[in-house]
Amino acid sequence: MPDEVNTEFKWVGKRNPRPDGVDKVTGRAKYGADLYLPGMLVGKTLRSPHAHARIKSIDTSKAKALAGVKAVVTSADFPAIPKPPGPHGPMISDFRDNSMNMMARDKVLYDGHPVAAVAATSEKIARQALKLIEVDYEVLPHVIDPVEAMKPDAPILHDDQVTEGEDEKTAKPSNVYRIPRAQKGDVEKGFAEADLVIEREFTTKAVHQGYIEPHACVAQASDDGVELFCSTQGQYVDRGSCAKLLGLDISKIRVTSSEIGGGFGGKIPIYSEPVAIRLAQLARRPVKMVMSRDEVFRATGPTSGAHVRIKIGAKKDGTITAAEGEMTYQAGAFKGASIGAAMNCMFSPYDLENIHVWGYDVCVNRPKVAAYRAPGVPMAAFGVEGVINELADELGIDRVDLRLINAAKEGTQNVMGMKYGPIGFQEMLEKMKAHPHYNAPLGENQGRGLAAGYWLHAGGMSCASVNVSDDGTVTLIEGNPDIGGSRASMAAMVAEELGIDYNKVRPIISDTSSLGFTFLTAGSRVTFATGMACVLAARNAIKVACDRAAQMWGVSEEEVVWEDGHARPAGANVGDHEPMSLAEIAAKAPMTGGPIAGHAEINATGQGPATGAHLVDVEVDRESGHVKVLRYTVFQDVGRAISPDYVEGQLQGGAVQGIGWALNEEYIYDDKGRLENPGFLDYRVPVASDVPMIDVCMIEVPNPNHPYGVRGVGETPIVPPQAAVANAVENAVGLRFRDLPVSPPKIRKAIKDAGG
Amino acid sequence: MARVVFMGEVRQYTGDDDAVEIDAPNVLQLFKKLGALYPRLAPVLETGFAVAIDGEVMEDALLQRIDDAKEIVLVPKMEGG
Repeated sequence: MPDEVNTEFKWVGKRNPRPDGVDKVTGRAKYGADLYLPGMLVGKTLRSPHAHARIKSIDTSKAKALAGVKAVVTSADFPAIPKPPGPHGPMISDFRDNSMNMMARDKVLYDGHPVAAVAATSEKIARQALKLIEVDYEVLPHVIDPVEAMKPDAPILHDDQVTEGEDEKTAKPSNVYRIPRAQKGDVEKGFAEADLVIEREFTTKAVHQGYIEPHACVAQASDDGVELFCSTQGQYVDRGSCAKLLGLDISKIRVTSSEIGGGFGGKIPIYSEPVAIRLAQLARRPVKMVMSRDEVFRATGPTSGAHVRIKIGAKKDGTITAAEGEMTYQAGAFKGASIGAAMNCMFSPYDLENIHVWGYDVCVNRPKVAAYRAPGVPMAAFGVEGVINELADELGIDRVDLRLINAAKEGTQNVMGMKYGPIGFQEMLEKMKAHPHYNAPLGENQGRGLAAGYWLHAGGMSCASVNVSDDGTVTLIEGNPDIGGSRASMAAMVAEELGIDYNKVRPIISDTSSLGFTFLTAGSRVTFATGMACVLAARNAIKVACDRAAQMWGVSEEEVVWEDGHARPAGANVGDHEPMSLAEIAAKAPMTGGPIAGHAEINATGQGPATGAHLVDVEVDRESGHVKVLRYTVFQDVGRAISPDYVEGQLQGGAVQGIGWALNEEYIYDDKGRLENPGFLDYRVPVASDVPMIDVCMIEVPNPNHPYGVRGVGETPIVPPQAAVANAVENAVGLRFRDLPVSPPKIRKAIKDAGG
Repeated sequence: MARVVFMGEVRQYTGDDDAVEIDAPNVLQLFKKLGALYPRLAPVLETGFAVAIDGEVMEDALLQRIDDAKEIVLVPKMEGG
């Protein structure tokens, strides 16, 4: 899009305060559960207690008869969606699956699967009503582990699912939905050329995104349409999903996003939203549905647990000659594990000639997985980076040097066919090696680990409007829920373009009826894609302003330029005209043609690779197995940090989530397939006292395809931590760890087994 | 005339073909010609794949001009969190 990448800035790259900051820290901000409407009912969901069971019957008559109950729904109250489900909008994917996940039809497929819902005048009555719903189940055998689910005698979740590519009429039903594959070069030849080949297997557990705010929504229905207020990463995608699941016109639904208390991918799917709408339609009153933490854990998407096999060959000089990766990922109850992204990214920090990657997308009796920051990649990278660290040790080459020998550079083509433009991976590794952390002394039982990671951020559709008021201040309307400080970044870029004070730009996040379609706050796309739309909208507003100045001066539009917030004559020959500020032009707008505004509707492309590398020191208590993270430094090529504070926050947040993933977090099921730790007491995410201050070292190699050089930054920082932390523990105790989490019992057992 | 390269996953739809030469003005026309050549690929092209045009990945860009493109690789679409 850009004519050129801007390099000198007044607001971009500065530590501007977030417009939403004070409201969020003082409690004024409205989250999903904070809306109260007159006559509002409380919606509650009845969930399956079984991991796998056939629903023989549901009797809701007693619940419906309870005083205070205004509506009860089961799957019979939603359209049955045929297979295949037909065309769909962006990111809605298989909405037949989504419908069956929202409300079970013939079978329940996991502990927590919704089977009915009620709306009542109070939470107490709603809970009483749930107890009055009688569901007759035929309990079926279940399967939790994806490797077990691939065996011939495994319980089958979907009788109508065969592995993609096989004949539906002749093939047997399978829990394996698909086996995607990508390859480049000739791995057989590459392994034959290697002096050393290392092949290892790794496992990771399903982990939750750990957002603090549970899913919450309020729905209101009238004859004119539906209003939905909810905590979401994408109000437009929610709108499309609800329309599909309810059989409504998209334009009849207006979705307003609340502030969002974390998402990390977990608030892309819809769960209670269509249920709340249906209840509201039936009750003809607003309905609020707020999940408990237990419901969030049991019924919303974690990331996949994974089994990964990695094989890498290298010459004595460190040149990698071939790399192979096989991934088996839990999809949960419905297909859709993030294997494609893993295949794309796992070897992509490196310039390799021969690569072969493939994976198995496997349905199991767990909640359907959802995206979690760089979805699918951390599990694969845990294996890749673990083997690279082992290769370095075996070859006697420094771990950073081995990566430098094989580092991707401009012109490198990855396994998916993308050829890189400018990329800062080599520069970043050199900075890591020169950083004081890299050679700082370590004490007894302390170890240092490192790993690298890659993500290709998303582009996609975004809209923006810049409306100039008659005092020259600006309302910027864009369509992405602000999770990580995007309001500030959008405002900074618009202020920069217009040449006005950052504080004179007020960014507003639109509802779905007030601005054109804008894709998700996900995939590290917002500052890149929506940022581009905001810049373009500002430039279009400038065109209008310049045109007005030209007409007032009696010159042509080409004879006016916009510099430093003013329309100015393009040259001395244009005439002696006093420059006009945006405020001066806007003040005359009512008499010179009407409002001054700029709009943009784009489908952004030109994403740049985003690479990172993490360095971590830990200390292991050999008696308890407890790991203390002593020091942590994140290095990342951020392209251009529009808002350095919030970029640093993304890098720090990714690292902390990765530390939890590496050391403690895991879903634990009992022998009946019921989740045993659905809460933050038993599912342990890191808290402030568990981690040191995460240091950040940003490398800025601008992406030439964005007007300010932006690369998406949110996902990459969760890719390296798992391997980096495990590597540090390995170096502290002298033992290899290939199964996450590297929790105290595992460390203690490994030390004991080794005679320690 | 662009060389359209099939890497990995796409080959399950193209038999043994790993590349084909196609002349098309834009991505939409390219997809139509590919769909005609490989009927099993047709239903998934628009929804499942982006294109890397001389190395630059473009998603949902059916009207992107490719008159001067030398190499086009079909790339599975990315997702994100």
